[in-house]
Amino acid sequence: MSSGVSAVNIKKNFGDNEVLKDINLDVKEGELVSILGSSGCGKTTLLRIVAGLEYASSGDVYFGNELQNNISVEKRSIAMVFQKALLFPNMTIAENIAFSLRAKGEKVENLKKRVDEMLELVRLPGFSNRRPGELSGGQEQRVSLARSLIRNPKVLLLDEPLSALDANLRVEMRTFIREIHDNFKMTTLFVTHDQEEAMAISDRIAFMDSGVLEQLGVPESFVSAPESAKVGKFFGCKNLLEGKLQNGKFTIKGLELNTEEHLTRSRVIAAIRQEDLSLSEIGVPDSFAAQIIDWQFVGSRVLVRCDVIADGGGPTVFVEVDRFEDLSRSAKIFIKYSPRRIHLITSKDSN
Amino acid sequence: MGVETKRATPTTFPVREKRIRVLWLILPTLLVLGILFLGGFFFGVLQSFGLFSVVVDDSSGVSLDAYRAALASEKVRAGLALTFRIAVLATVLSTIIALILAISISRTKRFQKLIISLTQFNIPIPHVVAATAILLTFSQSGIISRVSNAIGLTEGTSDFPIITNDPSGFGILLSFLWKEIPFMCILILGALRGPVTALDETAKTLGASYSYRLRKVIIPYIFPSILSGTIIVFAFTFGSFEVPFILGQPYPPMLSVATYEFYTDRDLVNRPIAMALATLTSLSIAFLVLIYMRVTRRETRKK
Repeated sequence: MSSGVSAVNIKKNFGDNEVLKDINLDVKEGELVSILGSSGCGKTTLLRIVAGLEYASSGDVYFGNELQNNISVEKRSIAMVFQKALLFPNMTIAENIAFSLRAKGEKVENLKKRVDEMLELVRLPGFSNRRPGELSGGQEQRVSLARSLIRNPKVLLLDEPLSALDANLRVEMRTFIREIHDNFKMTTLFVTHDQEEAMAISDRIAFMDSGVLEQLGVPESFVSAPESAKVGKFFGCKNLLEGKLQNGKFTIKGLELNTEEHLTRSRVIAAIRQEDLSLSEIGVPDSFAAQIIDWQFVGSRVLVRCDVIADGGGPTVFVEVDRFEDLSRSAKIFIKYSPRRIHLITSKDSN
Repeated sequence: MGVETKRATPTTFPVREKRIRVLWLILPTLLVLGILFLGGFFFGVLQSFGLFSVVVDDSSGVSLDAYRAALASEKVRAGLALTFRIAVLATVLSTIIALILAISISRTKRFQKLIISLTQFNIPIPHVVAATAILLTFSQSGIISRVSNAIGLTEGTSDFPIITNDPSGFGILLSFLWKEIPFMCILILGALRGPVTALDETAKTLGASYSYRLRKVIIPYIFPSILSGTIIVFAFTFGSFEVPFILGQPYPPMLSVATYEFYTDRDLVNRPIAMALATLTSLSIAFLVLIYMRVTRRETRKK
């Protein structure tokens, strides 16, 4: 039986360095939440506090309604998979998987069936007698997962378990982790720095930056409605334009854009995704004139950098287009936008 | 017209040239080692086979007489038994005590650096100084004996128990333990700070108690480091000369002291016996070093 996880007002200092600043995170029972952020943002520290491997300087951790602060890591109903598989090198695969049950005093002869079931689950049947050194990175991580799941923990904690694997294997493994999660319906916290991974696997994402929980929401919200410029930037939004909002019209350096908001703000950031803009040879409603500066390939598409034509020089805008589009440097073009795709950030950065 | 520029390429040496360069660089050390140690050892081996003898006519060729005489000697047999006993005891006790100490230190959160400094302070002190200090402290004419006499605990210094220069080699053992426990402790502490900490954390998250983790994860993982340390300690205590020379009793002497006595004997006929004993000791230690190298290589490969 799984339970939800709540981190309430968590603060953590290492000496004078404040690595977690008043984190509040509520994970529902059976939910998979990714803690996403760049290196050093405090995501692993938060996970280790939930696990009990670190103690918070202040704040509480709950599993369901049960306060965990004074419960040691050995006694918390968790299982954790780390960046490296960390299989015990002196044990066989079967002994590794059975480790937690043997530590509880269960007899070896009673465990064979359960170990075999776990090996079936992680698609490694017949690997019982192998040694950790004989396995590939992906296989080792599967064994590590099996070793965690055999305890039937309430909460599964995954600390960048895929980052040591190569790209193809990562995609395969993240699908596998999601399947396992859906099978066991276990509350899962998944730490990653890879936004694609977080988007693919999560029910919700908790985005952290410099020890602050910047945004918590469903994956789509991070693309379509970032709550701060930091989030927008992390999720690849190239156009974060800071300007004014007057009766629903966003203005910046001679550029005026229609939006669906009917507000007035002296300072606001318009987040417009480059793939939501398109190039046009003729001016149409909801478009503005610009000049192509240069472009670069991004995968199978092209990112075009343009300067908006306005008195005194307009802002720079990025447009992502099909790679077969005919482009020429310094050409005057029109950039078409959709008012409903302009997301206005009025909180945090803009206040 | 553009100016043609020549791009500088980094200087590279072929492998053979590199090897010759390295050989030149280590030549001074090789010469000192070669002449003083290997040369001496080689000459000693030849003497142990009855060659280059100062008194015996060696025209009859290679002889194993010195080895036979050495192994037949009661003094050598008794000395070998004593040496073996002290080396094994020093190795086992220092390993066990150091392991307990290192584990306790690694679990201590407060004043850990201070405790480590206190336990390691005697590492740079030479064995000869340690042996002399133990002699001055624990002998019948030593500080403790005099203090106990002064405060009336004993009647005269001869009433004080014989701790040094005793038949059981207790003083020698004490000196070895005083030096080898910190050495083993620093070795084990180093191993405890390595990748085993991550394995220990993993075992914690799997619900294992400390004693279970210690038995099943920590000690098996650091065992190769412990083993290599015990081999070093055994090899050292087995071949050590200065400590048994200062703290040992005249009979039976430890093997190194017996070797010295045969070498400095007025009867020069005994010199090949000394060389035979030195050769046997060196070969035994070389064998242990070989095991040590194999263990460390296996450990490196595994990690």
